Amino acid sequence: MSLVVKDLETRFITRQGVVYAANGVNFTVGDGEIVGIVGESGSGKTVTINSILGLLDPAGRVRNGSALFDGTDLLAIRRRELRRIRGARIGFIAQNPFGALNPMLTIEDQFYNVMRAHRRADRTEVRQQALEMLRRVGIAGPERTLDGYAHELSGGMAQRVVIAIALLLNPPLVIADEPTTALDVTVQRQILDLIKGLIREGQRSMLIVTHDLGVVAQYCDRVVVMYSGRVVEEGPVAKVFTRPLHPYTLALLRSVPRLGTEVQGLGGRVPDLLSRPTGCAFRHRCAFAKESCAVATPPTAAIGPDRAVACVLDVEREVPALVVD
Amino acid sequence: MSLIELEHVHRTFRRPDGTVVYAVHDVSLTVADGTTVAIIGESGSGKSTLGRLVLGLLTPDSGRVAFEGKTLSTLSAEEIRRQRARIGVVFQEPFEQLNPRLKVGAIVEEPLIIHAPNLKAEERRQRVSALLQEVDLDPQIAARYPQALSGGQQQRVGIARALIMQPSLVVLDEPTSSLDLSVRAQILNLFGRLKQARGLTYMFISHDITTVEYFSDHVVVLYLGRVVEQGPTAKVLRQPRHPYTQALLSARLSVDPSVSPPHLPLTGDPPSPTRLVSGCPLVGRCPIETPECARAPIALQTKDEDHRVACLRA
Repeated sequence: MSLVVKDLETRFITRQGVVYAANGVNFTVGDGEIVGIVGESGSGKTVTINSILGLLDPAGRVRNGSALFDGTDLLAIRRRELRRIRGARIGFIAQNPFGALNPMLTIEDQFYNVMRAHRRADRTEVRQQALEMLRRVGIAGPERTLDGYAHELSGGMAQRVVIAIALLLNPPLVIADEPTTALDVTVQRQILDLIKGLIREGQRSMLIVTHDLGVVAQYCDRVVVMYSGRVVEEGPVAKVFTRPLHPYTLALLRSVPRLGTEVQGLGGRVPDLLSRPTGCAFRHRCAFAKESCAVATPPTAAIGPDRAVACVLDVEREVPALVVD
Repeated sequence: MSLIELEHVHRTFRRPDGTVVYAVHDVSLTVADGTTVAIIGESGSGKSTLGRLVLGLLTPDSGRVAFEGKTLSTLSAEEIRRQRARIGVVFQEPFEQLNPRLKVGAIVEEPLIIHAPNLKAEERRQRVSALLQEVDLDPQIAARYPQALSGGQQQRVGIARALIMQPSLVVLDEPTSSLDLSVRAQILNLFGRLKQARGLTYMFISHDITTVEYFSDHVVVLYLGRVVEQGPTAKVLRQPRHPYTQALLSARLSVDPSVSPPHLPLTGDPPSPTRLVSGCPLVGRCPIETPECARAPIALQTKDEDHRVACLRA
C-alpha cells in the first residue's frame, strides 16, 4: 500500500470570495506507516483528506494535483470508482460517530449496507462477520448492539462501532479525522490504543488528522505539519517533536504548557485564506522572518534522509532548540 | 479568607421524559481569596453546573452556597444583583457570549450601564478603552463587531466584559478549550497577568489536566457529580490517590514521544448521571473495587493535611 499526494490545490467558492484552502500539499503514507497530519484551524488538514476521499462539500473544488493510491489517482477517477475504493480499500473514521451512523437504522443494517455496497452479501454471513468485528473492537454484548440503534450507545461505544464498520472489508489504508476529539479523556486513550492495535495487527497503514500534539507524539510514526494550506515540515515524529526545524513547528510545541516555564504563545493570527498567499504564510508571526520570506513561497528542502522543511532559513543552524535552559 | 463556600450542595434536573439527572451531589468545597481552584472532570461530571451554582444562575436543591461570607439563598433580589456584579464569568465559546448586534465597545460597556447607572458616558468609554488595552486589544476594536474578530480576540473581549465591574472572583468555564494551541498559550498568560495585577481569584473549570497543572493552586476532581479527590495541585496531580484521578492522569498523552507512562484504564464509559448510586460512583469501572465499595456513601477522608480522597482503598 502507498498513498502519494502531490501538489494538491483545493479552493472553495464562497460569497466572500475564493478561499484558498490547500495550496500545493505534498506528502506520502508508506506501507505499514501511521502518519499524522497536524495543524490548527484553517491549516487545511481536514480539507486535504476530504479532497482525497471525494468528500468536499459542494463549494469545494480540487484545482490541481494528484493522490496516487497504489497507482490509481483518486482525484482523477469517476465518483463511482472512488466510492468503490472508499469503504472497501480505504476505511474512514470520522470525528463524530453519531454523525457517521444512521439514527434510523439498526447497527446490523448499517454493517449490511456497507457490505452490500461492495460485495454480494448474505444476511446471516454479514451478521456473523459483524459480531466478530464488534468483539474485536471490544464491545461486550455484540448481539444486543447489532439489534439496537446508535442513540442507545455511549460516545465511546459508538466510535467502536464506526471503527468496526470501517475495518469490515479489511482495507489496507484507514483515514481518521480527529477520531477521539469528541470523546471523554478516559475513553480517548482506549480508542486510540484499539485503533493502533488493529492497524498494526492487520499490517495496515493509517493517515490520522488531529490538532492534538499528544496523539501524534504517542501514536504516529511520521508527522506532516500544515500551516495555511501548505506542508511546512515533515519527518519522523521522534525527530520532529524533539528537534523541530520549522519556526512554526517550534512555536506550536512551545505553546504546550510545561511546568516551571512560562508558556510561549504565538502573536498574531492565522492568515486570511481569502487571498492567495504570496511568500511564506507564516512570516507575519515568525520570530526569524527576514525580507526574502515575502518574496516567494519557500521551497521544500530535504534535511537528511527522512525530513523536509519549507523555510528559507538555514534551519539546522538558525532555529533554536525546543527547550532552552 | 474563603471567597466561595459550598456546603453539602445538591442539584438535580428533571428531563422532559421525567428522569432525574443528579448533576451535583453533596459537594462541599471552599475557594480561598487570591487562589486559583481548578474543577476537573469529564462530560456529565457536574463541573459546569457547579460553576452556575457559584454564579447564582442556578439555586441548589439543598445545601449552602456562600460568596464573601453571605449565603446566596438569604439575599434579596437586589443584593443578588449586586453580588453578581462581583463575580465575572468567561465561557468556552467566545462567540456565543458576545451579542452579534452590538459593537465590541457596547458589549464591554453593557454591565456598567446596568450596574453603575450613575456613571457618565465619557467615564464608561474611558474604562472600556483602558480595559481593552489591559487585555492586549487595540482600543480601536471597540468600533467593530465581534464576528469580524478572530477566536482569540473574541475571547479577549469576553474577558474584558467579565472584568469591567472589577469582580473579585472570575469563573472560567473551559475558557481555552475551543482555541487553537498557539492562541491558548497567550490567553493563559493573560489570565496569569490579570490575576497578579488585580488580585483575582479564579474558579477554573476544565477537563484539560495539562493546563490545570500549569495554572491552578488547588484541584477538585469531580466524578458523576461528586468530589472524589481534592487538594493542592502538586499533591493531587503528582501523587493521585483516587483510582479515578489516577486513570484520568494516565490517559494524558505526552507531547514528548520518548515519554509514555503506563495507562491505567477504567472499564467502559462514564455511566449516565440519571442513576443515583449508593456507594462509590466508580463502582463498575474501578480496577481495585471490593464488594464493600457499593454499599454505603464514601466520605472524603483527609490523607495528608489538605489532601482529601473519597476511596476506601486509597
